[in-house]
Amino acid sequence: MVYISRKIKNAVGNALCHFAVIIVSLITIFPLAWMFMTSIKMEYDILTLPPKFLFEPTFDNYLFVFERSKFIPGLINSLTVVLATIAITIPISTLAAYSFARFNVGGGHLQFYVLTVRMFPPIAAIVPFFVIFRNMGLLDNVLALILLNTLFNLPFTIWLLYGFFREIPQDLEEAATIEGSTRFEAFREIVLPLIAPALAVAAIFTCLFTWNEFLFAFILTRSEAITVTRVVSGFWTERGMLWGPLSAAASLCVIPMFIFAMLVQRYIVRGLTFGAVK
Amino acid sequence: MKLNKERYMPWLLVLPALIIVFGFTLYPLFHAVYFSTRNTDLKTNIDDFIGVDNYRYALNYDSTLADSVIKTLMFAIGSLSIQMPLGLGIALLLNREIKGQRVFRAIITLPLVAAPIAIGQVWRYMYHYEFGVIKYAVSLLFGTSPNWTADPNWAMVSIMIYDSWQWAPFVALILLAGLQSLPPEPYESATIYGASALQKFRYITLPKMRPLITLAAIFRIIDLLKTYDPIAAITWGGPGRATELISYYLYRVGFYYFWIGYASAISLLFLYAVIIFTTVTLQRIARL
Repeated sequence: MVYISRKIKNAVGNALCHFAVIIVSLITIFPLAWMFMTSIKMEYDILTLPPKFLFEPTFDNYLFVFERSKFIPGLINSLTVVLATIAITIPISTLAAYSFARFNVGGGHLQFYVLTVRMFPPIAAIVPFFVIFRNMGLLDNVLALILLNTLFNLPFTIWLLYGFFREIPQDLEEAATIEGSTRFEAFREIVLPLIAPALAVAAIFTCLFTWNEFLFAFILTRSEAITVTRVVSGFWTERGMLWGPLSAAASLCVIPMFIFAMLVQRYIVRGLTFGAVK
Repeated sequence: MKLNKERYMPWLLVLPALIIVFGFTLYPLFHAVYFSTRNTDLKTNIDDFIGVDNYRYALNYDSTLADSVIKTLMFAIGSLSIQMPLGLGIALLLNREIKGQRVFRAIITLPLVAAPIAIGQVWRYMYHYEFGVIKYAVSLLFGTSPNWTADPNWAMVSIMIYDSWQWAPFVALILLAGLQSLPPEPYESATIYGASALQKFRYITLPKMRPLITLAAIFRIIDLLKTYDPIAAITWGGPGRATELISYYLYRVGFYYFWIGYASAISLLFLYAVIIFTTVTLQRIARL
């Protein structure tokens, strides 16, 4: 009897868990699904009650985004900023992280200061930067965005890569140096191939943060250097919000990052905690 | 010669990073300190030295600032008390051997990588007082619904719910990493002594998970104190000033009124507060 009741209890527990999983999944997905649905709705299907789940789809909103908003220039700017930030951040942080991991430069304090920079409230940092960029004529220029994104991503990539370097046994390099390689050769031929996947992870996270960055782009750009997030924020008109085009642009902004997220699925916690949780 | 090379190489390797990190923090810091002693106004081009008046005003007289500080703390505490238990619940679900567990994990990762300005504005539409799907669904379920972002009493709750939707998965994934590394032995002996599932959770799981729960909470608090994007996406600080957190107030002072002097003073105060908080707490994490 006891055995049977336990079995029933387990079955009920399992059913409840499955139910909970389904509910949580639905709540998580709903806003994303609603965004996509709204992006293929006509305006009269958007501004209506009750909300419509069945409707005649249209691609007008996407046409609007490509033809009548600055999405394409925004995309080019975003890609420029993302690629340049990665190109600067990854090599510099690789060297720094290697040095921190192997030689413990600065005895931990330096590394800690670097991390603190990442914790700065962006809005507090932007006030002096705004004046500096204004004096240098760098307002509405992608250079300013590249600079700030580099500053805010560098601490992150250094810490993330630091963790990965620590996982590579030092013996490997030492063995190579004993066999006559220079330290640089050992680094290039033994450490670099081992750390390559980690570099890809760091690059993808830098891409995520830079692509999603809004505050700097909002304050430092007006028209020439606007990014995708800046374009997405600009669908407010005198006759209200253009929900359809907004949803279309938001979908275009969000979906590429979903693909990257799936690529780094295994490392997502590690990335978002700067390597504190593996 | 060789000895020298070995000695300086570690510093040489960190040098480029240090130049960027120190150069781009110290130089602006000097600027901020300089402007914080002036009443610089970029709109009227007024720019005089006023000593510590900005600080005095910020700390003693600016009731709007005090208000936004209280709102930020309330927002952080409120959001945390939704997303921590929720995250723990999701982590416990993820830790069970359920069919489709990997799909579930992939799904809850999605909000973490969605740009808040993009998905936040979709929530703005979902919260719409007239056509919003959330208001509609809540009225269906409970017979009535608040006006969410249009109601000063509910606007902050709306942002908290949005933030928890986006970040409870983050808490869940951190805690899951902890759950998966718990040793099985204590549970086995607890089962032998006849402990209930609830007792095992209360007396084994929770104590063992405490370091990671603290870590997740600290990461969230640091982010919550800086919250800007969701406000810019969903409420624009409104209605009235109902959701004007520190970051948003600072944005208004600096980039709506262009009082750069006063904004610099608030920036520095905000920066010091966050740095002190993070230094104290992160050092605690480092010891965990």
